[in-house]
Parts: sequence; structure tokens; C-alpha cells
Amino acid sequence: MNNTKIYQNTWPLQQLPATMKLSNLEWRFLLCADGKATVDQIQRRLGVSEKERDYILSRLCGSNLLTESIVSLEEFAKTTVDIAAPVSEPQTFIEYLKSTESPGSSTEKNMPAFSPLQKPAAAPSTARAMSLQSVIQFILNQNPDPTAGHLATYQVFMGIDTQLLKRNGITSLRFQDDRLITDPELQTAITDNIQKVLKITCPEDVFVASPPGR
Amino acid sequence: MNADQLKIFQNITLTYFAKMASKEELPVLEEAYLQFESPVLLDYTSLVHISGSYEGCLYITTTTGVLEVLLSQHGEKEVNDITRLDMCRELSNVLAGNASRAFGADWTISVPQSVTADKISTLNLPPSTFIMPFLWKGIKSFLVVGLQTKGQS
Repeated sequence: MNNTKIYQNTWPLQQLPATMKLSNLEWRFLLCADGKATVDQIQRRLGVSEKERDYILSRLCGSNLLTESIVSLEEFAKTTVDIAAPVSEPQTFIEYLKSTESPGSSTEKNMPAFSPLQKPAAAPSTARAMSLQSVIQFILNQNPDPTAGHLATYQVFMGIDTQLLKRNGITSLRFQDDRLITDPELQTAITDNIQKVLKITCPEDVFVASPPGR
Repeated sequence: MNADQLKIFQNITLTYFAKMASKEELPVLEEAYLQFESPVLLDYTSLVHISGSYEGCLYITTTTGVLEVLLSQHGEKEVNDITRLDMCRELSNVLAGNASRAFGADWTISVPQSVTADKISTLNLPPSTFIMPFLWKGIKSFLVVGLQTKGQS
């Protein structure tokens, strides 16, 4: 099935937790999702099947690492042209960062003057994301014995309403899993249960900075 | 429930399977994980309820294939629904004994239950479970701990 949706990274890659782990294909997909290329284009660049593409996409979206982009008419037209002339996938992280530099740094793009409507001044966002892997590591690190760490993690999560977990796409949890939790209700439930079970406060470094535009 | 108790429970349960196989076919415990909402349940489940600082259950859920291998190891030639359920009951008794040995000091252990796949809706399982998969004779089974705070069910 064709998929002409366009996705962009929810978070600047530099802000992703160092402990986060993805498969090679998932990282490549994430690097290609630049807010310009359609899902179809990325699929062709990576040479994956539709099934693989949809699986990776659902994993990345489910982990809140990708967000669908809303594009302008010009951007839309460009993606249509790009189908005929596919762009090569960034091969390295540095290439990716270069490819996402602001338009002002490039002389090739001669963008027509465009004055967007002024957005109403928004209150400073207090939203922040919690790295699930950082939380798990924090709990595991309190216990020198891995089994004790696993049991402590279970005791923390068993006190959380499963509907709340499900609402955030968490139906099971492996100890190496990672995702960014943006739901403040779930963040609070996790920190409260860490306090309740482990009798310690969840540290601030399990949180990462706010995603752009939130 | 503490880690030492859990490790004793894991070890004595896996030892039961190890005794039924040659050295090359020892059961292998795989990495544990947590499951929310939909507890893992296979063809046959042997279960005990436990009550202590929390309440919940311990269970082994396994396939028809594993029970048939166990029947064969016990020298049972007849393999049908009745003997498979008998084997499941035998496993339930082993589970109850192991649970008493590992957790009996702090927990009350119920009489064991043996349940086939078509009766699993009768089980009252906690919504969050700690799953310990193990592989024996190439077939995966699950040793499961399900706990919840008292009065949550």
C-alpha cells in the first residue's frame, strides 16, 4: 500500500538518551525521516518491504520518536518531484546533521519570501519526556543482583494502572526497552511508585528536554 | 517476595524439568519481562494462589507438547486429554510444593489448580505479571508471578 505521509523526528537526535537502543534499520529510518521524504521514499532508500516499513514505522511512532509532518504546498510539491529523483539516504550521523541544517546556511535554496501568520504567544511549555530505559536502569542500578532489579522493576510497574500503560502503548516491558514517555500522568505514576517501592526519589536525569514545538 | 525466594523457586522448578531430560536437554531460563493486561496462557496451566504482603498467583503455563514429553518420561503410553490433564495436575502439585518451599515462610499458598485453555477465563489473574520464559526440549513454557496489592482484584 502506498504511504505518502511525511514524518519528522519528534526529538532532535542530539537530545535522545545515550542509553536508547534501536535496530540498525530503525536508526536508518529515523535518520531518513527528515520532514521532507515520504514514507514510500524512505522505504525505497532503505530497500525494505512494505511489511518491514510498516513495522518499523509503527515501532518508531509508538515510541514517540516520529511525528507526522504537516507540510506547505511547496514542500509537498518537492516531495512529489523527489519521487522521480530519490535522494540518497544519509550514511552517517554527521551527514544527517548537515542535511538538517537550517535553509539559511545553504545557497542552493532560493526560497520565495513568505511571511507566516504570527502564532499567538504561547506560554512556555513545561512538557518534558521521560526516558523509559533511564527509569529501568535507575531501578536496576539500585540492586546489585539482576533478579532483585527485575523484581523491583515489576513491583514499580505493577502498581500502575494497566489502562494508563496501554494508553501510552505499553502492553509489555522488556528490561532493555526504551521509549519516550510524554504523558504527565504516566510520568507521575512511575515516579510515585518508585518512591513508594524503593523509598527513593526518581532522579531528574531520567527526563529529557522538551521536544520542539510542544 | 524477594529475589532469593524467587531464585529458589526458579531453580527448583527448572530442576524438575532437568531431571526429566538428559544433560544436553536441560531447561534454559530466558530473559524475564513484564506483561500488562493480557497474561500469557498456553494449552495447560498449573496455578497456585499466594497471599502475603501482596496477593496473587504463581503459575506454569505450557503446551500440549511439553505435557506429552513429560508423560513419555513418566513411562505413560496412553496420551489423551485425560492423561494430559493428569500430567498437568502432577505439575500443579510440583508447583505447589516448590512454592511452599520457596515462599512458605512469608506467604500462604493455596491448593493447586489445573486449567485447560478453554477454562482460562475462570482464572482470576492479576493484570500485571512477571514472566520468566524457559525453553525445554525446544518448546517454550512460562513460569509466571502475578501480584497485586491486597483488595485490588
